[in-house]
Amino acid sequence: MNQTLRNIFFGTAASITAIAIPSEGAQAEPIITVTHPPAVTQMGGETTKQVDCGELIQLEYNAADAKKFGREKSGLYPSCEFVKQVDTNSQDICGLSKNSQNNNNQNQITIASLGGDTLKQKYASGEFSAERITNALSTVTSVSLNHLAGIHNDCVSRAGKLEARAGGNPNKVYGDDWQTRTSCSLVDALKSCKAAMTPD
Amino acid sequence: MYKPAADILASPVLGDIWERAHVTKKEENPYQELADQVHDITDNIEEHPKLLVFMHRLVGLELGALGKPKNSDTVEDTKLRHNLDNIYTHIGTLCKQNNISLTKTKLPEDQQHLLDIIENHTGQKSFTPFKSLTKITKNLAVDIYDEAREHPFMFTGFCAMALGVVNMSRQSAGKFSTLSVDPALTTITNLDMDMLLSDDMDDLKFDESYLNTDLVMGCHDTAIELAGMVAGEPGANLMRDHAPDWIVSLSPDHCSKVQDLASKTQNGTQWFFDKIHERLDAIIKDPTTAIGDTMNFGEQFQASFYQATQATSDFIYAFNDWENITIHTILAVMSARAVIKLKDWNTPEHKETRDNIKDFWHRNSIANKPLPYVLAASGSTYAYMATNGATPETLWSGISGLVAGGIAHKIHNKIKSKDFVHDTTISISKSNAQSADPSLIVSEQIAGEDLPKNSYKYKTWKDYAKTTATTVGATTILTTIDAIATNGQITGSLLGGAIPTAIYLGYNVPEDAVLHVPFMLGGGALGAVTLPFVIGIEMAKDSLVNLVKGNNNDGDDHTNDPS
Repeated sequence: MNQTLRNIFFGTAASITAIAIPSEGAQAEPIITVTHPPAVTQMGGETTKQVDCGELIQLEYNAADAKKFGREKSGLYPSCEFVKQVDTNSQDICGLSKNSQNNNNQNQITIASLGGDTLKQKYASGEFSAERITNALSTVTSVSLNHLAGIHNDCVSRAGKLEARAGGNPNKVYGDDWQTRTSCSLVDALKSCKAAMTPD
Repeated sequence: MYKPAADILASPVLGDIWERAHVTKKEENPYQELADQVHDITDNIEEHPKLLVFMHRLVGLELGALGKPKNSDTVEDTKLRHNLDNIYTHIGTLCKQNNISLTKTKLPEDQQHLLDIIENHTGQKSFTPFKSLTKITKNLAVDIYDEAREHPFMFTGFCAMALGVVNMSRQSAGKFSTLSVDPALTTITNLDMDMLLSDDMDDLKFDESYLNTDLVMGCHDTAIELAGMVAGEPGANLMRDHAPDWIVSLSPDHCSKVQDLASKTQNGTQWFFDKIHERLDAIIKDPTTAIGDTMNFGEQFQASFYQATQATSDFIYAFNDWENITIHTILAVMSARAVIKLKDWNTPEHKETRDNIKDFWHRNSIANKPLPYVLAASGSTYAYMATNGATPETLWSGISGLVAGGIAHKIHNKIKSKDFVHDTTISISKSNAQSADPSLIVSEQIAGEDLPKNSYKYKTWKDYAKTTATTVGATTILTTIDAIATNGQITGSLLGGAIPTAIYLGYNVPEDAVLHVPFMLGGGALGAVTLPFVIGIEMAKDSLVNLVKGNNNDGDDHTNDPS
């Protein structure tokens, strides 16, 4: 089967379902369920993962940054933990993506690995700038797409676009049919979280 | 009365057929030996039940080769058929009276083989995929069991490796040739989830100051992803936590190399399974679904049909993947070992193997069966030209040509089968010509007995009609009950499962045959590469042993030297 047939066969395209489960505590963020179809799982079976929407990160800008960026909040980013919970094998993408100079505290992955609460604290204390944090989280998003597409045959069309925009050749990396492989568990998880977090 | 059967066995034509099939044993001619046995019988023939059954089958094959009575039959044909039928009926009756089973499988294997040769030669061997599959599976199981018994560790190792490959290929890796992260991705500064949601990457911003050129996925961890958590984790952990530095320093990038190799292997196996699955889709699933589309017996029937088709196909695909890799890996190893054993080619204990190979190639040589070769070459050449190179289609077309050639030879044999009967029964025909009543040849032994006629069943239209009516009647009753009780769900499930299974059983025989070729050639090539090393090692070992022996003898000589 080529990839297109594989997608049709396994029903990959848009077949990831995400169901919101009401959280117990009033303050807790919702937990949603992501179902990975056989095409993206290790042994070809269906896998269900629970994802905590509270692991998404969004900075509330201080007054100076709000003025600078013209908005109250930063964009919404997945944390390392969020991607780990979505990943069919619960692999820690940030843990996997190591710089050869592991002691380099300046690299984006190392910064993103600190987690949402710590990053928010460091932003509040002025230790990290908003750009530094969002750049680090942006790297996590792009590397995660790279991992999901390369290892799990998931989010391929988006990873392909990213590759193309970054000057690479997506046909070479993901195959000629990369544009047709549109299903993406990361996006589906985000959609479900947004839906679950939006007040009725 | 048994002289005619003995005459058939003693016919020079059967001698020729035997020689063609077993050129290394052409002097042995077991047909002649059986003819002699029949001639030598001095007591009652009933005391020789196996000979009786063999003769019954033999005459049955002659009758089958002669075919149904036709208007164009000559007087000689009619007499021959009448006479053979009498012999057949008589032996059958005799066996029945003495409670002797007429089943072919009760015969010794060598005698069954002799009947098979005639059956093949006269084009009477029917196409029985299930039987063929069972036979191939049985023979293969015996071979594999022997291999496992003789080389348990090697066998277990290769089985584990094959299962690892299947496991790896089932993972959904992409098409990465390496697992390093494109450095350009690290320069993207504003990829947030809203951008992912909108699927619009036009507003991406890049900042070269964030360029990270040596960001790679952790080698051991991603290796675990590739090799699977169960298989890869212990090995990777062992290497990471316990491997001495000096081992790692021998090849600092060992993991990347292994990872790269694993990734390429995975891409290769996925490509292999994709090709197999494409063909399974085209041959099994698509036609079954198309059949289901035409059967408009209600929604519940069709839902059950499609569900059963999907479930059965999933099972077949998984089984087929496992079977193809595991069995063929073992075959490749056996093939490699067979080539390595060629160094012992001239030893007497390998004579049997040598003879079997010679017989096989003589039997299937271009001189004896030219059509399969011509059509296989033609098919492969066409596919090679059509697809601009060597692709799996080249192999498939070649095999198709081989099969087509085999069928053509079979049809030819069928057409010529009447000649075979004439050639093998010349002496009987002469007896007929000298006899006023040909049936006396058989009837004198059991005079007065009323023999059932035409016991060699040429089925009439009434026979077929009876069988068809019974089957259709029973099926109609059962499906009607099911239609009333479950809206056809049971019938739908049964059909949805049975159709892909039946197609698969027929498909798997040629598919296995096709895969035997590359795997066995691959194994043979591996053996050929290994052979010089094995010979070298053995020569070195022998030289060393001789050297040691020579020194010892030298010492002994001195010790015993009276001087």
